[in-house]
Amino acid sequence: MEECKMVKPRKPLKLWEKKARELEQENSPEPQAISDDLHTSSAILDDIFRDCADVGNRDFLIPLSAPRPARLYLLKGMMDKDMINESVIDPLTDPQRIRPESEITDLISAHKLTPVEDFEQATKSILNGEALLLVHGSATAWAINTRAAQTRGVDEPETQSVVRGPRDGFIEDLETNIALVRKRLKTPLLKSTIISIGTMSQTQIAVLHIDSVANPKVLDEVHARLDKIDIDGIVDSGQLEQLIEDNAITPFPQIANTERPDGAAAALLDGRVAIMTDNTPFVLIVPTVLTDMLQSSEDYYERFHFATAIRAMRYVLFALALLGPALYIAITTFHHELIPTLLLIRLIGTRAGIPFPAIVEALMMELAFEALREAGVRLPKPVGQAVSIVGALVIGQAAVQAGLVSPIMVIVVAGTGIASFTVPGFNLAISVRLLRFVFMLLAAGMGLYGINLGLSILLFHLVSLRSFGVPYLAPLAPITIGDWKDMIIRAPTWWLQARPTFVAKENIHRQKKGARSVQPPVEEKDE
Amino acid sequence: MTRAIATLLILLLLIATSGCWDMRELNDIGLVLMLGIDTDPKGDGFEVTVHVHTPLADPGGEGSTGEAGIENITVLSARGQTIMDCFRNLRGRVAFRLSFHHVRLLVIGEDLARKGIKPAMDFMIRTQEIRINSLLLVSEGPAKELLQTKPEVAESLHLELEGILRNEVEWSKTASIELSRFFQHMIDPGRHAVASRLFTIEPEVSDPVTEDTEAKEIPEAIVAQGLAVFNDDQLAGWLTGTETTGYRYMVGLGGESILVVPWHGGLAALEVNFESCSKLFYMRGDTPVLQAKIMTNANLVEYTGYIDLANKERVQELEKLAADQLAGILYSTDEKAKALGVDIMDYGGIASRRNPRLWAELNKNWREIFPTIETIFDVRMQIDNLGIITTPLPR
Repeated sequence: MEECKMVKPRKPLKLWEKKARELEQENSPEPQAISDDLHTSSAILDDIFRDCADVGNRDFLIPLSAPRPARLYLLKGMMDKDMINESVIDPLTDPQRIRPESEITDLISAHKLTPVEDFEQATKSILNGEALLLVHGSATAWAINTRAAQTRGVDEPETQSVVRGPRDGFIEDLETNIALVRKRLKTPLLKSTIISIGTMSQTQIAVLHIDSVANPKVLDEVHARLDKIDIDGIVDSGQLEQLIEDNAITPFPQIANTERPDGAAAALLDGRVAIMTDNTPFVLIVPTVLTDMLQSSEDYYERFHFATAIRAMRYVLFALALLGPALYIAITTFHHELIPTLLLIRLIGTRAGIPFPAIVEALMMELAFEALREAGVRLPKPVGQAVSIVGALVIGQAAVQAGLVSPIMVIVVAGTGIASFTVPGFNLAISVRLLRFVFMLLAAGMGLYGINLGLSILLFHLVSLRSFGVPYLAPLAPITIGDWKDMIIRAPTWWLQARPTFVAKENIHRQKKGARSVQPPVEEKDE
Repeated sequence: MTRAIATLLILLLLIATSGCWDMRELNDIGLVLMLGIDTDPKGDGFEVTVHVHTPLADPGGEGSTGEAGIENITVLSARGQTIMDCFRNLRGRVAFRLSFHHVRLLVIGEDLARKGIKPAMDFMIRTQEIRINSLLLVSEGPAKELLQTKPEVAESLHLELEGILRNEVEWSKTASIELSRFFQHMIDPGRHAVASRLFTIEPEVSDPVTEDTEAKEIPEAIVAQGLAVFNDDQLAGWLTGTETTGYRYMVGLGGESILVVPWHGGLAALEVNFESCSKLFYMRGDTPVLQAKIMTNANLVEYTGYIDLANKERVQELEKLAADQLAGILYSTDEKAKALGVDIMDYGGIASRRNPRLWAELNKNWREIFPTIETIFDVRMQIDNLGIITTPLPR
């Protein structure tokens, strides 16, 4: 349980800076300074980027009073060609625009110009897509931000869709993603700190929080865990999630992910911390509790009656997704007395002649269903439809007609499948899919007793879990009844005056009491 | 970590223990739906007759909805020294494991009922498999024969009987008695138990004869009407359907009943609804008196005479007549009970609740006192509804 311990509250920025500096010193003993001789410098850089076909360069002469040769290093494919021509090469080579006393920095019309003193920094900026300008006679190189992100545009999220709510989703570009959140939270209190992780990948990780709302302990913990990471590369936030989660063995996800900027903004307003990874549209949200994954951001956009009904249904379906086949197996093989007589007779009729015990039948069907689901995900989209047709025909019709599987079992498995699709958190849904098999085996061995045993162990396990110091079953265990307003029931928006107290520790009021508009009294007409 | 592994291993052991537990696949069980118990005609023990539902190989598929189910019932019987012995002998003949969880009807043959049912009933309340809320019925004649009757309307005999008994409140001529209630009444010192009465008739109508069914004989039909009255565990006699109405109203089971009252040159049919029954028990001189006040309301559903009913006094006259008739039914039930010497309507219980001091004296020789109780039935009836027409059709 060492992971649960919180680090001492310190200013997070300082902590990671210190660590980063330490790391830097370990990895690169002596950053070599750029020399004022263009030939020496370019020889060193050429050596660094030996066999890197995507790094290009261009030589030109700056027609100053004493013409100075210069060289521009570029990362092809990540630069904005027009911008380089218009704001770097044109002004530096056009004799009409250059006066003898011009400084190079005055000539370049880029929005971001960073002086670079050593080769390590130079390498980094080139690899980040910046143009590096080396000028003969100057020991300072200039990193010019001419980056053009090669990424798709902001699009509708594919995995977390809603009927009512914003249509934009996160994309693979970190800066765009931060901007999408900033667009929703226009306050300087929204802080974002960027660190890079991965000795090779140098992946940019942004940690977002709202100052004065987010719990500083959680924030410290996030930074401490991120700093611990020493890996060659992070390709997706999923890897990051597995490196920083509290308990790596449990099947239950302790970090939520969202593809929706509105979801991330709402989480930040709750006092949570968002961790964005470059090159992935999935943003991690910490801390996360179990009930968060049974909520959809749309719950807050629809009026509360419907949202509450839908949530109640989700909880029921969640239980069904976990226990559906297990309950069927337990009741039909151990507890016949629980079934009404006529239903039992009907069940016997459908099961008559089936050569397998119920558990084998259920395992067969579940495996077939999981295989179909996996095939549907992996196959190219046009072929995917064929899979579902074949699956429906083979499982729905042929297996029943051949007398291998009873029709009731098809209903149970299909119902369970649909139930598991209703869980909004996909990462929770897959853990439920996995645990379903455990419960099926328990039910086949010990009936309802086995299921109860399994549920007890599951409960013990869940209460022992934590997500960044927050108990996983909060607000159920420990009980904070005030937070139940936003759990199974979704109270009307005017009543949701406090942030979840298990997340936000201070500044918990998010709206003023009694600020709700009421119907004006009916005016009496004067006749 | 070691502890986690140890826990896992222990859990694995638990799974292995299931072998000695009661796991039964659905298609391996024979579902017993009805149980009949008689005395063994060839010995001292019992003869048990069961309706077993057995799974039919039905591979599902086109047009099959598992309907092969309900008609697939076999009637089997076996003899033995005790009930369990009978079942064991039965198991030697059935390819399925018998499950008694769904026995809803328990039919006792007349011979056994007269001899005393305690030896047969011990098993029924001792075993977990038979539900304490199964219904107890007594058949006129052997239960074995009765269980071989074909159902007239429903898909199977047990559905037919359950349906008839479920309709009890609509005609009040039978009462469904659960096993638990029967035993409670049987062991109660101030009370005697009853059970539903079953018999067969030969119906005068039957299915039309078609070309397929040649020389069709009229089958017997089963009827659940009236009650079997027990003295301790022995059958003492039968109540008719009408007497059962009296029983139901006295013990507060209530229900609807139909009274046909001759009135002003015609017949008035009334649908009577039981409302409440309050009872008093006291001594008048040396005679113990039980006074019952029964409140009912009624709807006039049929009248074949020619009296204009839009007259309050006339209706009151009819109320009085009908109440008297209902009181007559109650008196007849009372007389029958006294004649059989069985306190089925809980007079002892009424005495003990209404007059505990008196009961303390009387209960020692209640059996002798019971037939001497003077009963007064005060029936009140209110006719609420005369139907859509109040004036009769013109003569």
